Amino acid sequence: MFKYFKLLGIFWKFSVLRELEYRANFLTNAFMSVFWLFWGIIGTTIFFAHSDTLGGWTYEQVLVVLGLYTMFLGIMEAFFRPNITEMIEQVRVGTFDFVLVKPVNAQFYASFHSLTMWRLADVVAGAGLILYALRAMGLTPTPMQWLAFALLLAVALILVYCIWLGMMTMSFWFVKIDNFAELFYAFYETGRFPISVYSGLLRAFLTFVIPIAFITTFPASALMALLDPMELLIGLGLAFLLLGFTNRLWRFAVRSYASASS
Amino acid sequence: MRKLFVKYLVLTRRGITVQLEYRMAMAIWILSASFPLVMMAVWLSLAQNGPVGDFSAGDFVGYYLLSFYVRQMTAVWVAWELDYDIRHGDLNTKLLHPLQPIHEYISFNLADKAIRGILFTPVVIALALLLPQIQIAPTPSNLVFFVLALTGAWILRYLAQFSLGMFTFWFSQALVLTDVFWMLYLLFGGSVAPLELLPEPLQTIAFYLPFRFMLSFPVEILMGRLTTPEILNGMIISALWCLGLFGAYRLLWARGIRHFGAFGA
Repeated sequence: MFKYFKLLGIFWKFSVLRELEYRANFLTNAFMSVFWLFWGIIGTTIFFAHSDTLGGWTYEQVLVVLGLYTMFLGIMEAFFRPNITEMIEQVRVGTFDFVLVKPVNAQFYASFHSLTMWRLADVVAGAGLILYALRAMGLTPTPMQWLAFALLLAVALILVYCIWLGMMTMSFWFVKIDNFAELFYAFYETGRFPISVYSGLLRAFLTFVIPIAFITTFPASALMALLDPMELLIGLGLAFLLLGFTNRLWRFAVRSYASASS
Repeated sequence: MRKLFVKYLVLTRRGITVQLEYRMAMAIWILSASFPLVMMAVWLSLAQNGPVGDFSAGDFVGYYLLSFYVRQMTAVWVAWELDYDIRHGDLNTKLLHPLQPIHEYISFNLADKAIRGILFTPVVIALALLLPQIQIAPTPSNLVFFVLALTGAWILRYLAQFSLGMFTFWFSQALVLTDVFWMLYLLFGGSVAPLELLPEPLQTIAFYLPFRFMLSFPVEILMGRLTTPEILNGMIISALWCLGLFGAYRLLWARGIRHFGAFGA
């Protein structure tokens, strides 16, 4: 276990060193983060020009959801996107074999060995928006609420990882599909708004099938005393189930992986 | 002119073959353009208790259904192609062909439009016929204007993105410009909200920018929300934007290609 933490440190150190070569990237990324954030806020304002609530949530409450949306966008772009891009290329060209023969868990290596540090700017921007919105409402979450929030953040992280692991696994079967991530982002767009905005089947789909609700809405609820404890329990169960399922899927896919030649 | 037409025919047919080879990837690209449907869901939640401004629930469905169609039929990704070709030097090959490279890029895009047109035109017509609550006004004259405005929207998006993509000749990070352009398009083109529902001063700004003619204008026409003078007026402004962007394309291409050549292989 300790070995893996040490490896993670080494992987990320090298990624950071490599990125420091391209410092202009930092500027453009920081600029884009701020720009997108303002874009999102303006978009939200437009809806509130016509109504006081959106799905029963007030403007500031929706901003907390938007903050979580931005944070997780940054997390996905920083930690998962570079790895999936690389893996798709490796499977296509056949160099994924070299990952499999390394003396570490292949899933660990393929999932975490690369990091795009600059995109963490989104995490900072999103967290800033959450704090701003809480202040604007005059809310100070209790320790219990922070605890529920932390638990739900962990659930959200696991769910996000599972989704990306699932997409990575797909690249074993659908070679040369480099835009799965774009498809997921199309669904992720729904996470800008609280789940109560969507009705019927769409809401069930976004809660249980592609669990966007657990990534943005429920952690936000936890901070603002809107959380139903049941949602926390379901979230933990869902994270547990999905992690087991995607891990198994990955192992199954690796076993049937036949490399590029042959 | 006839020669050019034959070249287009051949290249577009090649494009269709290539696209069909990667049909899974194409299906995913098509599905990922579902942003208008998300916005529709959000507006519908607001329209539950009566109309928002001048828009009833049926108007929102009609508006976003048509937006989805317009967006599919004007999808452009040439900035990314240019970025790749310039940075990897693949543009060299295209420069050797006996044809301006822009025609080669366009013909590939037309292939995509042919496929999407065959896929989505029947779907939109069927939905409009089957769901009477959808509010649109497909009179013959509106249909003609719609097709014209749709073509204009595609030309505008194509020229704008091509021009922005050419900045890769000078900066390696030029795709940022395309991203910023994209955000402005979503906001001022009528994707986040119908332009009528934008609060001031956003609404006034939107009417001075070209984005309206890239998305909202054809939709407004087919929804019957514009009078004939308004339509003709819009057509003229749209044509002027086309001319302006064509000028930008010519200028940037002439300068960029000289700069590109200056790398000396």
